[in-house]
This record gives sequence, C-alpha cells and structure tokens, in this order.
Amino acid sequence: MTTHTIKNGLDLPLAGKPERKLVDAPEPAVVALATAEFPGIKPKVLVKEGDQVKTGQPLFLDKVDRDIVWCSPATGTVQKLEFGERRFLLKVVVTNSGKDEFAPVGKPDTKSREALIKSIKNAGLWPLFVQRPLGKMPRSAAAPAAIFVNGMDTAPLACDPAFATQGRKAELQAGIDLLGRLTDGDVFVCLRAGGDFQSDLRDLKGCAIHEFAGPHPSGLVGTHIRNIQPMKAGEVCWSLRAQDVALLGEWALTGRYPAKTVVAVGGSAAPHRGHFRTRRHAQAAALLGKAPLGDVRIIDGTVLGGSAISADDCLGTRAGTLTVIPEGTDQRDLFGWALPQFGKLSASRSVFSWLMPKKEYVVDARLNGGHRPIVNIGSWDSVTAIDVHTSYLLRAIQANDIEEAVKLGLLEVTEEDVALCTFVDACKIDVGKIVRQGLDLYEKES
Amino acid sequence: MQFLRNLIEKQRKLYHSPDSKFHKVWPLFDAFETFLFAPGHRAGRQGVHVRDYVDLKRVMNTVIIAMLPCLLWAIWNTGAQHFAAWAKVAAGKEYIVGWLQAMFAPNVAAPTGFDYVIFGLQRMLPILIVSYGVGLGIEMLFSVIRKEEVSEGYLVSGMLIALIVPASIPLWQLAIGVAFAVVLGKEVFGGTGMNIFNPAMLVRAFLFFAFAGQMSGDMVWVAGNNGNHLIDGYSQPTALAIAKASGGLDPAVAASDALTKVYTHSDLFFGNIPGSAGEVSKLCVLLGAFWLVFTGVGSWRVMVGGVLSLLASAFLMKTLSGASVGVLSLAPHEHLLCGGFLFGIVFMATDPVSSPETSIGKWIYGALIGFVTILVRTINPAYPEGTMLAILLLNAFAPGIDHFVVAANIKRRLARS
Repeated sequence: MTTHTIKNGLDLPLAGKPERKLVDAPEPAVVALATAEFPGIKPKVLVKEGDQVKTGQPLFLDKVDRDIVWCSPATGTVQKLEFGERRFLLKVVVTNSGKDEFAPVGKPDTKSREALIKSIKNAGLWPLFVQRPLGKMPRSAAAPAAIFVNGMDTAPLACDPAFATQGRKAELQAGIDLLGRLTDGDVFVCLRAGGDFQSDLRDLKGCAIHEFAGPHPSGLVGTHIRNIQPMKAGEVCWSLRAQDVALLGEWALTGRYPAKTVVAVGGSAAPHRGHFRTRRHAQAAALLGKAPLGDVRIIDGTVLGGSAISADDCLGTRAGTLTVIPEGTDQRDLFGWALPQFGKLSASRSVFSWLMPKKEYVVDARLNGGHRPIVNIGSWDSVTAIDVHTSYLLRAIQANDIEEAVKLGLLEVTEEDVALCTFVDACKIDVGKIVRQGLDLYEKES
Repeated sequence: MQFLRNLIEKQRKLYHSPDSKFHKVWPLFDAFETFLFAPGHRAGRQGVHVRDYVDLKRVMNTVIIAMLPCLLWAIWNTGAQHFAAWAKVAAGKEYIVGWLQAMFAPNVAAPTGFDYVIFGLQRMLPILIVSYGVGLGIEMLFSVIRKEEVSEGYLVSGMLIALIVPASIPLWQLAIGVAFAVVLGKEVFGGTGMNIFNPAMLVRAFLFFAFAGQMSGDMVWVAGNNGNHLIDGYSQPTALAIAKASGGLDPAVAASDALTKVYTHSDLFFGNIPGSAGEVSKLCVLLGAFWLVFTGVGSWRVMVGGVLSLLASAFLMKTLSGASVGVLSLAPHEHLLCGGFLFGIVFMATDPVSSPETSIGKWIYGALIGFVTILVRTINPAYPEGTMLAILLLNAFAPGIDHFVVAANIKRRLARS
C-alpha cells in the first residue's frame, strides 16, 4: 500500500456536516431520469405515458450505442415524458408504488470482456462508469489502462464512500471482480489515509489499495490518476465510486437492478442532516421533509460540483450528496470590499476572518464580486494538486487552440479538478465551465 | 442602510433597462453601485456554488493598504525635506506660501510636524487627484465604450503613480503621462488583465523621457512653492546620484564614502532623504511587503528573487571589477538602501498582470530585475537608477520566461508517453 500526500489544496469548513447515522428515507412519490446528465447521447424512449414499469425495466436507450439503457429504479406508472426541441427526450418521470417487482436484467456475462461490457450496458449500469479523459460515460472500445475506484470524497460536506458502503463487503468484492475483467491493467482503490469505516474496503482482493492524505482535491479521481499512474497519450482510464462498485456487485450477486443507494444530506440550510438509504433517482423532497425551506439552494452534489435543483426534481445517476445552502438572494453587503469582514469564508488573508477563525462557516450562493478578466495572483496554483498551469490552459482554450490545450494537460482535468480554482478566484471566473468548453471542443475535433 | 439600498434600486431601473437613454452609462452606474454594495450576482446553477469572499476590489484594496505607510511617509517627508532645504537657502529670501499653507499660516522659522504634513498634503493631494482623476476617467470612458463593468486595476496604478514621481512634478505633465500610459499602455491592449507593461511604470518612463528636466537631475527631488514647485536655487542630488558621481570626482572616491558623507544608513533606511515621493522609506516599503506577502496578494518569489539577485549582482560587479572608487565600489546592501529598487520590486514587479504567472518564472523574473538594475546602475554612464528600466524590460520578457517554464511542463507530459 502506498500513501500519497497532497500538499496543495483547500478544505472548505462549511457548516452543516451530515451526521454519521444511516437511516431509511421515506419512499419518494416519484423517481425521474434526466438525459441532460449525459451530454452526447441520443435517447430513444422505450415506454409510453401510463405504462406500468417494473424496477430495472429499461426506460430509454442511447441510439449511438443501443446496448446502453437507463432503467427504472422503481416499480410504478410512467407519469410523464418530457420532450424538448425536436422531440428530444429530456426526462422520464415514474410514480413510485414503493413495492419492488423486478424486471429481468440478466446476469454478468463473463465469457469475454466484450460480453461483460454488453451485459453491464443491458443492465442499465453503464452510466455509473466515468471515463478519463473527458469525465464522461465511456464511449470508446479501447480497454482502460486502469480502473480507479474512489473510496474517498474530500469535497465539502460530501458523502463518505467508506461510510456509505459499510456492511457491503460481498457486493464490493463482487464488483471489484467484475472490474478486474474489464481491464488488463490494475484496479486501484483509493482511500483516505486514516479514514473511518474502511475495514470492508481495505480487505478487498484483486485490487491495489492507495491512500491519500491532505486537503481537497486529494479525494478526486484526477488527483489519484496523476499520482498513481498518469495517463499516457491515447490512453483512457475508467473510474467509479465505491458506492457504484457496490451497486455493480449487488447486480452480480442478485441478478436484480440495484435500486437503492445512500445519500448524505448536509449544508447549513438542510432540515435533517444525515445519511439516508433511498431509492436512486428519488425526488429530493423525500430527503428534505415537508416544511418549506425558504430562500435556499438545493444542490444535487457538493458545493464544488453539482446542479442546483428544486425539491420537486429528482437526483441524478451518481447522486451521493445533497447539499442545501442559503441562496442569498438580494443580500448585498454595504462596502463589502472595504470592510475587514471577520466572519466570511476566504482562502485569502485579505479577508480578515483569519483573525477570528471559525470552525464552520455558513456560506450562501453569492458570487461575492463581479466578473473580471483573468488577473492571476497565484491563488490557483495553491489549490491545484496536479501538474497543470491552469491559466495557460484556459488561455489556450479561450483561443480555441485545442492542440495547445491538450499539450498543456486539458485531458488530465475535468471541471471537478479545477473547482477550487473557481472558488478562490478573485475575478470570479468559472474555470470549470471553460475547461468543459475545451473538452467539448476536443471531442468535436477528434 | 435599507433606505440607501431602496434609493439605488430605484435609480438602477433607469440605467439598466436597455431602452433607457441612460443605459449607455450603465457601467458607470454599476461601478458606483458596487462601490457601495457588493454586487448581487450569484454563482451559476451548475458547478461551483460557493465563492471566496475575495473579489478584485478587495485585492486592489489590499495593495492600497500596503502602500499606505509609503503614502503617509511621502506626505511627511515631502514637508520635512522642503523645510530642511528652505533652512539652508533662506538667508535673504522671502518664503512663498502655497495654497494650502495659506489657510494654516506656516511657521517657516521653526516648522513643526504639522507644517510638514500641511506642505506634504499641499503637494501630494493634487498629484493623487490628477493621477486618479485622469486615469479613472479614461478607464470609465473605455468601459462605457466596451459596455463592460469598470475594472479596479487602476485603483492601484493611480496610487503607485503618485508615489513614484517627484513631489515637484508639474500637474499638466503628470496628466499627459497618465493619459498616455492608460490609453496606449493598457486600453489598446484590452484593459485590465491584458496589458504587457505595468501602467504606473509606463507613466514614469514616459515622463522620464518626455520631461527629463522635471524627472531627473539634482533640482527636482525637493518640492517648493515657486512656479515650478521648486525652491529657487536649491539642488540636492539623490543617494544614487552621489554614488554615481563619486568616480568622476577629482580625486575619485569610494562610493560608500561619498554616500555616507551626505546620508547615514539610518537616514536611507527610514527615508530622511529626498527622492521620488513614496519610495524613500525602505521601512515603509518593507511594511507593505510584509502585508502583501502575508495576504498572498503579492508574490514573495518575485520579491525574494529580486533582492537576492540585486545583492549577488552588486557583489559580483564589485568583486569582478575590483573597483575601489566610483559606483562599482558601492556595497551590495547600499544598493538596496539607495534608490527605488525595493519599492519597485515590492509594488511594481509583483503586478500579477505584467509579471510571469508560473512560480519558477517568478523567481527568474525577480532575479533578472535585480541583475539588470545593477547593470544600469553600475555600467550605464548616464542613469543613476535602473529599477524602472529593469522592470519595464522584464515586463516585456515575462511572457517569454513563462513560455520556457510552460514548455518544460509540456515536455514532462510528453515524456510520460
């Protein structure tokens, strides 16, 4: 076992940590699958409004690769199909009866690598995989040079994969066994050095365990890849979170579509903070209670990477954390830039909170400034854990010089790797958005 | 404060609506509004949802705070130098009273600290007003043309400019210099974040070459009240000018000896010397440097690299030349105490826009500024001080330095595959 220590980075001390207590959430009224999570797919809907569907029954497939399907995580009725322009499927909403009848999804076919991939795709579990570079669902036929299983999450208030998978040792092992068949390289499991609830993960066979110490982004796949086995040109790696490996294993052991997962609910404005066992793609309201939440931002994900949703919306495929923070609408600080500001969260000592450090900060979704051209005072370097000159990468992307951007390490990053740059930036540049533009352009050109 | 907020909110509609005839000057309204109240923008619905409390206004404000000791000392020292000089030439002359002094009746025979401050303010306030007025005016004009929010970069430039010119500078010259530097040095490149040269240094360079009579020589470093803001018949060379001249004396003397005859080391350190208004006190510069490094706004790599390189280069020049007289013989630490190098490396070389962005690049950049400064000071026959030219030269090379650092990064990446 190797321990990697990450020096650059930043842990945001946000208020509202999810309690380390696992309880069953009430069954959601509806579940929904959105296609927007998977840019680039061409969805073809397989059900009609009013259809009865079983848990694990395919709801739509991808016309680009017809083996890839998305399955219903609940048994119930198709309540609504939402279409966008040119009848592009946006969302399938299914009412949840609360009782599971499982549709047959087949068992893992371990005859060959190709057969196994096909069976995973047919079982609706392919969307759990993320490919590097690009940070999207894997498309290429190329075998991954390695598969990285993430057993840690250092993002603020994030669900700890080790806690979420405790007691699921058999499923985890079955999942790792499947992953071992998908790559000729190694399966790496990355854990937080000195973390809790890791006994199941540390006992896994058929994989190499690596420990990471230090602040966020030490828990990101990009950081793990860079430190364990940096990608060579043309290589791809796949990554999954430990929770997703357990889902894969559950399918391998039971032959059923895994419909439940653990979601951590946290944030200063969250009504109940804790870890909830809930249906995948559940309506957020099931985790937030019935009381009105006021002017809040509900984030499917963490404050460093997620989508703002409403309580009626449903969680995404890789949901693990639900964060609720104040929105901060129309709150404007008088002389915000000039006063010392003892109670504001900042990585810079030009905000005087270093004089009276608080353990936890309540932070809202305000930008705290206006958009400005890039003025790099070196704050990005201090929170970047990989060997990429972010400002030069951004300039190459903004100049549409993708060849140069690739040379500068575009393929080593996704938006999550540069999220802290966005956080600390005084010019309020959305670094992740620019990186994604670059990746999109790269995809289009190659 | 709600009352103020409501008032602004009402006006806001007038400027924000695209069909309003006032919409053209929306950037000005926005600049005024965000000066009072932090902007109301919120993070996007995707990606990063919380943001650091730091914005560019606060960054610039932090630099201004770092320069305050220098500004206060500039006000004090401008007055102190004025009255000290006057005492030397007063015999048989009548003291001319300036516009601000007229309100407070100066005690010319035995000036107090109060008199120093009044005289200092009398010179520094108009300089600050012209520097900020002309510069911000042009920035706002270009913001309106570009339909962009007014950027805060000039808040620092405006103060820097006031601190790096002699307090005797004629205001019309300053205005021309500022207009030149802001338009041709900054706005034509696209404004804040896009300029190649440090705008404040460009102002000084412009004035230095266009109005050499008011920017160099032995006459200009002590401000007075005559038509040219000087004291009639008074001249006093700066420390570096004394060092430079030491080799040309008959007989030639060691620069250190010539220097210490006029200024003690503690005068040089604390700033009891004539010079450009804000750079004289090394103590005040160090206070500012500490604040910049502590807040992370200024790069310590540039500062440390620059100072170490200046000391090493001065030592090498002295040792290699074997000179015992003239400016080449000046001790390394005296190079640091004389002239504007310390001010330049702390406040001007660290400008994030015109310096390299990579950490290694910053070391190289700082070191080269120190080296070139010593070259100009010791080899060049005409200019006593080289900091300005060194920083401008390295501003031009900054992208080149970064290019090599980034190329090494690319090479490392290619080496993996």
